[in-house]
Amino acid sequence: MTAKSFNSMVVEDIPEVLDFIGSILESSTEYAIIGYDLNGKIVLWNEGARRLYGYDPLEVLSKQRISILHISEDNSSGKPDEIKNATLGQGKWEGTVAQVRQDGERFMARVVVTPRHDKNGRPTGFLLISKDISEEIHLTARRQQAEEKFRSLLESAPDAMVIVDQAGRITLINSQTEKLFGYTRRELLGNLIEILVPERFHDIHPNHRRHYFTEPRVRPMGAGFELYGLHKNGREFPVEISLSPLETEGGMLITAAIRDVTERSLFEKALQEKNIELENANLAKDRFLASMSHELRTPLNAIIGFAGTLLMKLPGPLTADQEKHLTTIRTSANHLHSLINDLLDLAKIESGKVELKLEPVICQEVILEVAASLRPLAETKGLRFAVDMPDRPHPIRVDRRALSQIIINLTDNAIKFTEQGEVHLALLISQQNGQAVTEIRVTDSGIGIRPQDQDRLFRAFEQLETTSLHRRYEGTGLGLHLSQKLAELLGGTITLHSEPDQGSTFTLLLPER
Amino acid sequence: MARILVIEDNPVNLDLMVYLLNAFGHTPLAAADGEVGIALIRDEKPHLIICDIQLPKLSGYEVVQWLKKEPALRAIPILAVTAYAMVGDRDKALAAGFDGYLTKPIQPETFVSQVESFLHDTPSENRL
Repeated sequence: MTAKSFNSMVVEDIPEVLDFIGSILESSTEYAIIGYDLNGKIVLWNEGARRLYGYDPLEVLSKQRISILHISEDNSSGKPDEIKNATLGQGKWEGTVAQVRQDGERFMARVVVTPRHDKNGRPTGFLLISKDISEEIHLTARRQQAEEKFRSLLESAPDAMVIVDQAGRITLINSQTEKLFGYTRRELLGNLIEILVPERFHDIHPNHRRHYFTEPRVRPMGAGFELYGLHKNGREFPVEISLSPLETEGGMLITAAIRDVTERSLFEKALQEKNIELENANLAKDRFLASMSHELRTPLNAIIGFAGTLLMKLPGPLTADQEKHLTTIRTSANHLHSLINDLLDLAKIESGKVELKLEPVICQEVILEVAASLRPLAETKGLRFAVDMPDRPHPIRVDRRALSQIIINLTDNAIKFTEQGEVHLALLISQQNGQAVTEIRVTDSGIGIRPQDQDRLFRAFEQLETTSLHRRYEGTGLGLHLSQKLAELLGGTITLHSEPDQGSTFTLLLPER
Repeated sequence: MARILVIEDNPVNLDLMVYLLNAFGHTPLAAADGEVGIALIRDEKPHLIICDIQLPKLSGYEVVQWLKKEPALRAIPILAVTAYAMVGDRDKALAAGFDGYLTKPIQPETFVSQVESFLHDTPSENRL
């Protein structure tokens, strides 16, 4: 088999040498080793050549010229001669050249050609060794593509991106870095990263940098500290930096994404100042509300009180007109007074200033307390006033003031909107979904509320004025709204059952808590 | 009829209460701050005291604290005057030692009867 690979011209008469060379040729399967004479006729064709180009030795030896390995374009442009002349002239030709296989497929090969000489030094032919490098070319292209992608990725980042090696030298930057720090790419590449760090950090920064390599992970830099960058012109600016390790063939690198936060810092500062301002304004508002409530109530107390003494005719008799006018004065003053109270309460609830003090409260005590203070009002109007409660004390966890306020508001309304009949307060304890629910019902025999009006009822300033008749009911229109808000604060709700002229029942439902 | 001390810094409210008490036949005494109030309690030993919470010099709380520590005077009922909206203040007032409270604004029709309900059944010789 070995013998078949050799032309008689090459064959000498020393069998061991031949055998040795034969082994080399046969085992060089990755490399095509091809010999040809000065005319290009192929005289040697090893196993590598067979594998690479596809021809069997017998198909080519003494039958084909070296030109069959070249692509047609190279043949017509005289590439084979060019290689031949260069080899003869310089003693060697080396290069990358397009080759073609038996089946017509083309590929790129790395080729070395050396001349062969006889005993007298005259050239007799050539030895060509070639290797398919398409795979390498492909890999290189892919690597270049990947690098290109990485670069464009860096460019597309909104932040300045700086890649640093273990020694702290800048190996790659994007153009945002040039813009942010005022240096050109050329000025930065190869320089220590500290060129971008204010001088006062120069003694500690390299340590931090070295430490990062011992524990590389994606994280923000200098957590809790304010970081600064140094512009080429010496100006410092606040930055935010996030670090991530980057594994490469050349070892671990650090990618730093650097963001200029000058503007954000200014915003934050402005926001902080605004916050303080707002807090102060809020305090001022609270102080204003507190003092206003006192200042407004004091004269009202006098107006209500002295209008009352006149109406009681303590100082002396009144004419009908005087009595009418005084009644108007007192009614208006009372209205104004409850308006102030409700507004203040509402302001407190809206601003979250209401602090609930949840404590065990005996429901009956609170109801009796409210009944005691409002019974005279009902009885003055000639209404029956009844309270219906279980004997056993019923304690619930609730804010006493809020509970009391709700019952006062509901009862006060009931009395206000009832001309004859009764106002009835009841306490019931029921079970809903296995939970004890406390129900406090305030029922009246008053004018009732039409279904279409019931939704509006709990909104602020929605006192119903569907007929002129209703105008004469004093009230702020805030009471129910306020009560509902308080009920919600207690985790409960107020429901309404009413029909016109059939009276109304407002029920405060408080689930166990 | 009873001797009733009103401690109230607002002159108009003070006038109102004094007027009403007078009209119903009681003998009102008036003090515009806590110190004067305490002096009058000592000197006059009223049958009942009506005391505002917010007062100059000594607050209503300080007055009641002092009163309830005086063995000879602690039996005198003392009523706080609190604003209608301040329900929490009422509990605070009762906890501080007041025997009851009256709500502002004062309702003239019910004021005196409310006050009278806190009067002890004083022996007839003590009545005026």
